[in-house]
Amino acid sequence: MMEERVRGVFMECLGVTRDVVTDQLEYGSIPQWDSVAHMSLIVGLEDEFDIMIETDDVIDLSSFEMAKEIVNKYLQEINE
Amino acid sequence: MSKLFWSEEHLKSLTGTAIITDKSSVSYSDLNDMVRSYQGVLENLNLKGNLAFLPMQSNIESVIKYLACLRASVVPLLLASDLSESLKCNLYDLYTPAISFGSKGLNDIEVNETSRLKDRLPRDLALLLSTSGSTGSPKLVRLSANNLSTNAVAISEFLEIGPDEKAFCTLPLSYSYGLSVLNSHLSSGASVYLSDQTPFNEGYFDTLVGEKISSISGVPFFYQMLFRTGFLDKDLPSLKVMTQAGGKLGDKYVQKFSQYAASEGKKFFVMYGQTEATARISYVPPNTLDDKIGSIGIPIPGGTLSICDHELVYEGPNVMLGYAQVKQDLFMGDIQRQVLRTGDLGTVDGDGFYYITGRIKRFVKLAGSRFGLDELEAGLEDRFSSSFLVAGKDEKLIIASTLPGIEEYGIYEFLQNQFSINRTFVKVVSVDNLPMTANGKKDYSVFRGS
Repeated sequence: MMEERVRGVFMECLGVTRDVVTDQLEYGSIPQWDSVAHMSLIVGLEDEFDIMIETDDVIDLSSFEMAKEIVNKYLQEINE
Repeated sequence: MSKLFWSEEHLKSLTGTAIITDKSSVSYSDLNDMVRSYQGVLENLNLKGNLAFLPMQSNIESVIKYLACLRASVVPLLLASDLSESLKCNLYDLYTPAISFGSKGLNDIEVNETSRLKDRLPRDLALLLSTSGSTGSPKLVRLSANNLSTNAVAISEFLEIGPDEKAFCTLPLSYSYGLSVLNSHLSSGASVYLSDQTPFNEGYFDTLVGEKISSISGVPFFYQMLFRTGFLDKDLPSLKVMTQAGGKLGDKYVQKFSQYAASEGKKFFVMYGQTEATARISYVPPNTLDDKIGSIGIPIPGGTLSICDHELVYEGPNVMLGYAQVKQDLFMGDIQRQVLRTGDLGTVDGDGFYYITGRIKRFVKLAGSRFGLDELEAGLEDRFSSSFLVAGKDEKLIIASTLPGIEEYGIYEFLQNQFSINRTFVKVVSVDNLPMTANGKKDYSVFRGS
């Protein structure tokens, strides 16, 4: 559920199809995921989940797998 | 003529490290030897006065090729290392260079005998840059050796670059701003760390700290990235100077970085320039920045600015010789005579600080890169066999299309693949008919500022 929403943000911000967004997808590994797209990805995830991503996580969010993990961390903090 | 930063005489006189990359580094003395030996290669091939295509990567080999060309009077067009093959081919067909440098080391050089020039290129022509590197624009800026050396010296003077500086250059060297970082530091005997990293890369801040970087440079988007990655809270004692150019950085960011610099004892330079002026035209002295937010500052040493019919006009020894649109234009001499109508509309305040209020020329800047709107329009029309209207202002491209169903036509994909334009920058508007003016031309004013 959460994974699908994160994937949706990736598809929208990177302009790529569903099959491209795998756990192995990393920052800089495809031309679409450049620094500009990364910025819009961060904003996109913040909007989608209504969270504020901290500065360290902006850099750590360097793969689709990490993105899910980081979003999950924020969602748990909200629930606590 | 002021000191030539590529010359044997100059490089020989310097000590210490010249260029550093993630993989290796080279001293001034070794750099000089390598440039000399590569100059020998070019001279043995008898290429003086000929045109070369030179893709610039962030590595030592690219710097050696570039400097050796300047010494051997080979005229290189600097190309973005990621320029798409089709755009490169267009340029190749138009300018038929005698020399094509590859990107696989120093030996990767191809000489096309049939393209050798019967008449050598004019003596004062030293270098060619594209007006818009990312679209592979065939419109080139013709620069002289004097343009390069005087601008490097002027930059070095107002930034007070000393031999102990170590710049972190993450800008492409095919881009006039990136090239000016290299040139001005070579001119001052300082060190340059070349890299493709961005603040979003994990290693970026490690390099800043570990390498004891003393200056960084970037376009507005670079400062947004720094802000977003917590730069203002980091302790960076060796960092002394930050420079910003390549478009207008939002006032909010200028304020934040100005305050940060003031409280940390660093200098933040907001600057303005154009490839047509080699690179730099003006800068805001850091101690005045707080009062002059939004300004492009005062002219660099040796230059003057004025306003003529609301247009900003720059005069100085770094103004290009002129443009080239086709090969024959390369033989034209100095058309500009040190005067450049910038195409930017401006005003000046009582202290002599200049402000840009608008733009006459048809181009847009996306994350610091300049894109010709007419070229994008022509590219789209060619690819989709349909009429388009491309307008825009900084950081946004507005494309009016009469095609039904934008997604299936792959406009975003085309812009990404052909021009490396991220879809975040693009807004496609579906219209039944393109807006036209009374005399039947496309009406760009409709989308201006939207």
